[in-house]
Amino acid sequence: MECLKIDNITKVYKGNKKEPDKIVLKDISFSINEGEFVCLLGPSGCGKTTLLTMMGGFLEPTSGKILLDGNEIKGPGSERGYVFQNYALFPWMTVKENIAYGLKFSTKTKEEKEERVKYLINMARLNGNEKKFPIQLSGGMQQRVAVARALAGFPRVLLLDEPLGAIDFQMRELLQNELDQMVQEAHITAVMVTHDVSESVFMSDRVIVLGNNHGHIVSDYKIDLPRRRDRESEEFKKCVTELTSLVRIAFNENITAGEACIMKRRK
Amino acid sequence: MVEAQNRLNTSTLYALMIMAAIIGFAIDQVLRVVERSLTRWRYKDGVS
Amino acid sequence: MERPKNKIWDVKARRLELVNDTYLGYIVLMILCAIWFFASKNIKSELILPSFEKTAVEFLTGWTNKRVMTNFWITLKRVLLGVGYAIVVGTIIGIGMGYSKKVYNALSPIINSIRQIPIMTWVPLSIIWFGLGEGPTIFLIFMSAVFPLTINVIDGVANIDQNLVYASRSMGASLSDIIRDIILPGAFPSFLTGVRLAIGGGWQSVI
Repeated sequence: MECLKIDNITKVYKGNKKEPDKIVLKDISFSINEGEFVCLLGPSGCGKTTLLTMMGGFLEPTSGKILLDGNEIKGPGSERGYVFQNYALFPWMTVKENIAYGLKFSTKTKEEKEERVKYLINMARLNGNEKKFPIQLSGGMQQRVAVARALAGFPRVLLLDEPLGAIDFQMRELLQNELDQMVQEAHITAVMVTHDVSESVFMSDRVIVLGNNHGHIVSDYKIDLPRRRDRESEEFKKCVTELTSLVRIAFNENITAGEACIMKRRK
Repeated sequence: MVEAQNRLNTSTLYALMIMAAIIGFAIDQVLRVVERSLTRWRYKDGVS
Repeated sequence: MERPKNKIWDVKARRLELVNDTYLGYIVLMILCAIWFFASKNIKSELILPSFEKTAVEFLTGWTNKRVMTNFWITLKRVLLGVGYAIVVGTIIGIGMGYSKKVYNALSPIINSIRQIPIMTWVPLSIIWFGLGEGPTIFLIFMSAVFPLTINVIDGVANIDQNLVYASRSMGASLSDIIRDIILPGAFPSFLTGVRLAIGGGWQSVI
């Protein structure tokens, strides 16, 4: 059942007299079904974060539209929970207040909100840390608060922007496990931007590989392995290898397109 | 204080200047304490 | 091989460690007082350097002198009033300029130009505007206090992480919610710094 639809999205940043127009995304289309976990994978600068930002409603496409349950997205909204790369936790609010803020503008009763916050704190295993401020939390805890906060308002989709981008290797696998557990438990549709291949194989049902050539979709790769994924299994490693070569192609796309341009001009 | 200035009564003048400085300093210190307690969220240690 | 010099250094180092850093300030103060005491004995002219004892007496009696204390109290009230006005004006302008680039570009030239005007040159104008009495004093305090405050508020607002605004928008916050939940708490530390500078500037300008 179709949940999120990306319809012919194009994003152009207008240049000025010195620089030409910058085409970040051109005619991108795909759809995401309910309950799927989709990763947007690709080299830096291919436009995947731009695409996610537009899904969040913080940026407007130059042309094309994004539809959630058939309705066009026109700005940020609580049906789409967003987890920022730097978590964007409110530094002057405690853990509990941060998570509760996700519910602040909803129409639920006070008791319902209390219950929801309690449930999320439990799910994120933050019990005992409710009164702490973000500055006192470790990176992993901050991430869990950010995800819990995004999930608080019962969103339809969860959007994650490289949530593990700044974390070192050892912590990353641990945090992937925790993130995976939280998302699976929430039974929610999710889109995550990442540049880490093994992360995308671990977390998602589908990986969409975007290339340097204006975000052109190199591949829509389905992953059919059972959860919890085993990083050491043969199938897992096979997926990683295949996706890695796809990402390489995606990375070189710009070069081939660029080379073609230069060759045309030379003629 | 203007009086002391006019009469070149330097000892009084100095005394008053120092008093003014101390009062100003005291106000500033009070504000620093207020600041510390109201913005606990900025500090890693010493919060509940 | 133990050198006698080392022993002295060790002992000295250990003794210095015991001295808490906060007492260093007081020690410097006492040294200055001592220098004053002896210098004033040598320099006989009261104009250049009044005698330490005389000043000390004036200083200590000043705290119980009704006239002196009333004066200080009146001045303090004026400073608080002037700074109060500065806070109201500065916070509103500061939030506007910090939040919106347009507002900043519009107001920045005027404000930065007025800021350069020396405070004392405002005196004649302020007397014309506010007559004789408290008015000009409070105006002067206002003018000394408003600029540090505004600049700090602008800085505080501008340095708020943009993602925080996005995050709260995506949870359904309206502009007034954003001001109340993000801008005010986010700019508050810089605001307090601004208040400290404003009160300092105000107090200075009027004593």
